[in-house]
Amino acid sequence: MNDLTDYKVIIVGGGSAGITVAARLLKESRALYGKIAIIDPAEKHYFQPLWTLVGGGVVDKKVTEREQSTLIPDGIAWIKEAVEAFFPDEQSVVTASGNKLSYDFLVVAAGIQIDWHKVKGLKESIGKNGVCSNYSFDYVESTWENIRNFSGGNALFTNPNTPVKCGGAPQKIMYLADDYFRKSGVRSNSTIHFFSGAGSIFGVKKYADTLNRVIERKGIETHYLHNLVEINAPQKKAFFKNLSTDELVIISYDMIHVVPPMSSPDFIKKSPLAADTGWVDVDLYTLRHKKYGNVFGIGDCTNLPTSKTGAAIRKQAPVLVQNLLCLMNQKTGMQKYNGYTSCPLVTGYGSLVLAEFDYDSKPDESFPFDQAKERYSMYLLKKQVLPIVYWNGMLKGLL
Amino acid sequence: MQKTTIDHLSNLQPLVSLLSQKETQNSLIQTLEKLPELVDQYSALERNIAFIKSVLNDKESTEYLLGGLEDEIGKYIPTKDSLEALMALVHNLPKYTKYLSMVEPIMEFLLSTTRDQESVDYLYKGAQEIAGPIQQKVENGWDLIQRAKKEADNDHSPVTFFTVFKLIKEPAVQRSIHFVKALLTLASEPKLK
Repeated sequence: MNDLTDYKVIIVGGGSAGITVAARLLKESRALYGKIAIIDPAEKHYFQPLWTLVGGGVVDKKVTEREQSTLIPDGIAWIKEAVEAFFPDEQSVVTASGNKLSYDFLVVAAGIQIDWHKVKGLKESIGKNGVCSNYSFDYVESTWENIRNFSGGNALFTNPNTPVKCGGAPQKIMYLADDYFRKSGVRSNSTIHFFSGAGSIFGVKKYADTLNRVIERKGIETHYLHNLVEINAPQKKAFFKNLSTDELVIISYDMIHVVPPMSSPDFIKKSPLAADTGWVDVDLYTLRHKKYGNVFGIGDCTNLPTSKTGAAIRKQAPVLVQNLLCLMNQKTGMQKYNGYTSCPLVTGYGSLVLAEFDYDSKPDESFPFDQAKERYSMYLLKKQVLPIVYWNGMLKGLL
Repeated sequence: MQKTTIDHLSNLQPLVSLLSQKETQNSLIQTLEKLPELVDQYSALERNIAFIKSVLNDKESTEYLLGGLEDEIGKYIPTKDSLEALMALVHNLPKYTKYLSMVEPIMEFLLSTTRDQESVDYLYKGAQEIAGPIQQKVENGWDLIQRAKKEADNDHSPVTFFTVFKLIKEPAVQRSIHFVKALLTLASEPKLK
């Protein structure tokens, strides 16, 4: 199957979005069996939403990792290569090895790129000298090491001024750390600082109100519009740029959890599919490319103005599949995505605020109770239920 | 007038002409080659027809055959009720299909989960983590009751007025008495509209 060079549908990226779309396409149209290819060089697949709890020491990181080969649906060709360039006018893509593949329809599901190098000194110090991050499978355990061994002092938690995957993750690990510091008896001789490139704790007022109360209760010091620009690990100093005044603020730390800057993958940025911002330029509602009608975009790599989460992808995938099949079969019935996204905000060991909202930042909640309240049931949902839904429901094209 | 030999020969002329053609000769050879097979098939057909004729002429066999069929088919002959049910089923099929399409992914999801050993292990471990502290509390409580029972069984000292008086002064007993007192007071109050 992989010897073909011409496919009905090519999906660039085999992450949450790519596999979900592939599985759903096959479910809706068995005629596409053997005619869809996923291009992705990664051998491993990760359920990243659990990394917060791995960093918090309550989940083993091994359960978040699976072999990609076990997840690619039967009937889909998996081309284990990286895409180098897009040629939408010719309806083809070229891989890193120079392999040219043609398509009738293209789905770009390439995810987001982590730009460790954009913070001076970060790449060299990550995982060492009190510097940790939940945003990498390789370093996520260093977060738990730092939290567990923290004996007091300055604990810094950062959030960049770029879009990130799972916008709530930078603060979730901070709440867990606070909880643990109280249990281990070091909270009284420590200060927790939250440095964020954003202007507030959360974009949706209903949940922001709860989170501000959590911050007050926990005694966390917030510093908004402050972007991390440099880390001096040997001296344990972090440099922040005040985005209002351009002033440089230097803070000493005993541990620092860093959320690195992120952007659209480079091969998309330089392609004709990118908007000025570098993200794939798609229609807000149909997910169809604004210029190339047979191209669709989904998930983190797109310029959809919503929070980049797996939950958003779960709602985008059925819309994209329906719309692609409508075009393919020259039928009507295009669907619209309303910008739905969800952020399970862990506020401690055993409590969580399940934020769900749309393009208008209007709550779009699933449960018949006030989801802005911290609940144990929602914590269990995140920890126990969502991973199962992901592996067996979402990636199979069922839920 | 009697036909002469020449007349006969001239009558056979079209046949001779046909037989002289190569295709006809090939067909004849093939037919002759297959003749034994054709004769066999014809004989078999003849035997089958004879058997059917014999069965049809045998009244008892016919009645047995048809009677058996009637018993079998009788079960499936639609009644008015079954036809009405069939019509209702067909009428509601779009609705049922819609419901089934909603249930199908959930069933597939549940099946997929049960077949996925890693997910089963994860769920089992999670359930243990949740149930662990509760189980511990229940076990501690049960242990306390058993110890108290054992001590009570071994205590043969007489219960005096002073023992009860001493017991009443225990904070836990005091709290319980206060609670019962408050409950009785509230219960005896007239209900407010």
